[in-house]
Amino acid sequence: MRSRGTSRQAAPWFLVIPGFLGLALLVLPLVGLAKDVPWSGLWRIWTDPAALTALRISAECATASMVIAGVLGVPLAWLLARDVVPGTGVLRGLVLVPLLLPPVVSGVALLSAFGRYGVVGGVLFDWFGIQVPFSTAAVILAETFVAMPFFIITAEAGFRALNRQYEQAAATLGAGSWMTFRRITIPLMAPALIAGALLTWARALGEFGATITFAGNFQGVTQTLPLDVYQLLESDRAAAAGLSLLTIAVCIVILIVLRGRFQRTAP
Amino acid sequence: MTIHINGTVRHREFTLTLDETFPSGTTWAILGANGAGKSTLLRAIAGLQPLTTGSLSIDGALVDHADGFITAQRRRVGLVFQDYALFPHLSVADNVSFGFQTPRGGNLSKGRARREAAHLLEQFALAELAERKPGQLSGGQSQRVALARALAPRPQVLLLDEPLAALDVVARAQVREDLALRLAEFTGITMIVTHDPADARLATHVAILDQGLVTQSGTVWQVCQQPIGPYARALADAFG
Repeated sequence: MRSRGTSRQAAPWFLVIPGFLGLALLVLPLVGLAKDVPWSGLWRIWTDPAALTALRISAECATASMVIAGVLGVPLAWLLARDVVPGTGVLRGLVLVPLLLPPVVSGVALLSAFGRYGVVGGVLFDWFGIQVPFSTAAVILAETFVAMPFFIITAEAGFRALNRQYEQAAATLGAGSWMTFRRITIPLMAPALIAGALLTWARALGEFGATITFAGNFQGVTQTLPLDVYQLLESDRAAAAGLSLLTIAVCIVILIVLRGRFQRTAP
Repeated sequence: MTIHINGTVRHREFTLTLDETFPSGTTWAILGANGAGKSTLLRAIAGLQPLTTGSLSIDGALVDHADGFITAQRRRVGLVFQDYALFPHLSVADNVSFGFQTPRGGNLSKGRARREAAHLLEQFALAELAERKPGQLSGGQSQRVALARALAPRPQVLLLDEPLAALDVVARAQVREDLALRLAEFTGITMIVTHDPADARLATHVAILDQGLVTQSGTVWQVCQQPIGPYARALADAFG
C-alpha cells in the first residue's frame, strides 16, 4: 500500500531506471575525479605559479569574450528576434553553426580566416603588421567564436518573450528608438542578458579545442586553465585532477547563480 | 483641431474602412463587438498601425498618407493601453516622469521630470503611490497611473482602449466616475474604445463599428433617436 499525504507523483520503473542510469553517466566521472584529487596537496596545486597564470588568462579572456559577445550579440539577437532582415532563418542557422562544429574545426576555420595568409589575417598582417594567431587576442577570438552563440540564443529568446506593448507605449509617449531601447527594452531584458552572459562566460572558460588549434599552448600567453590541465595530464595526473576540481568549482558557482533564472518565467 | 481619417487598414483577412471626422473638443465612445476593428482604429490614429490606403490628418497635418508616415513618437497622441502597459521595472513616479523626458514631453532633466510627475500625481490623487511598482497596484490605480502617464507629454488626442474592461464590476462604476472627472479636464479629442454601451456615459459622441465599417456615428442623443443594429439599440436602452 502506498503511503498517503504526499503530492509527489508515483514514478513508473521504466522511467526511474533509465533516468538514474543517465544521472550515473553524468555523475560517475566527477566521482572518479574526486577520487584522484590529492586533497592534502590541493592548495599547492592551485597556487602553483603556472596554474595561477593560467587561471588569470582564463578569467581575463573569458570576461573579454563575454563583453564582446554582449556588445555584438545584443544587436544581432535583436535583428534575429524582430525578423527585420530577409533570410533571418538562414542567419539564425549560421549563428548556430559554431555550437555544432567540433572545436578543433572551429580552430582550423579561425586559422583560415585570421592566419598569416587568411582572408582577414592577410590584410591585418600586410597593412598593420598584426599577427593574430598564437596570441592572447587569438584566445579571446576563439572563445568568442565558440561561446557567443550561447549569448545570442538566450538574448533572442528574451527579445521574443518581451511584450511589445512596453516599447509601443514608450513610442506613444514620444520616446525615440534609442531612449526606448536604453530605458525600457534593456532593463526588461536584464534577466535574459545576465543568464546569456554567464553561460557565455562559462563556455569561454572551458574552451579547449579551438583555443589550442588557433592560439596554441604557450604558458603565460595563451595557456588557459583547460590547456594547463591537458599539459599536466602528461606529467602529473594528480595535479591535473586537482586543477580540474577548480574548474568544476567555478561551474557550480555559475549553476547556483543561474538556478533561480531557469525556474522563473520572464516578465 | 480635428482628426480626419479616410482610408482602410488591412490586417490579415480583416479590413477596416473609415471615412470619419472627429471635431475639436469631442469625446467619443467607439462601440462595437470584439473584432469590429475598434482597437485597429486607435492604433492607426496613434501611429502604431499604418493605413493600407487613404489618409489621416490630425490638426490639419497629414500624418499618414501615400507618401508619408509620421511615427507614433512624433504624433501628439496619448494612448492608454487595455492592460495599461505600465513599465513594470519603473516606479509609478518614474513611469509618469518618462513622458516628460521625451522630446515631445519637453526633454526635461530627470530631476525636473520627477517634479512635474509629482505635481501630476498629486492632481490624480496618486502621490502616496509614487514609489510603488506597477505590480503593487490595483486595477483602478493602474488605470489612473496609465492615464496620468499618457497625459504627461501633453497630447492633443487621448485614446483609451477598453479602459474599464480589466476591472471587476464593483470597481468599474467607481473608476468610470473617476475617469469622467479626469476626462472633463482634457481639452483635446478623446476616443474611448469599448464594448460596453454604459461607457458611452463618458462620451459626447458615439461611433458604432461593425465588422470593419462604421454603421452609425453622431452625438449620443442622435444615435439613440434612430438606433441601427444591436449595439445602437443597446445604447438607446441604456440611455432610454
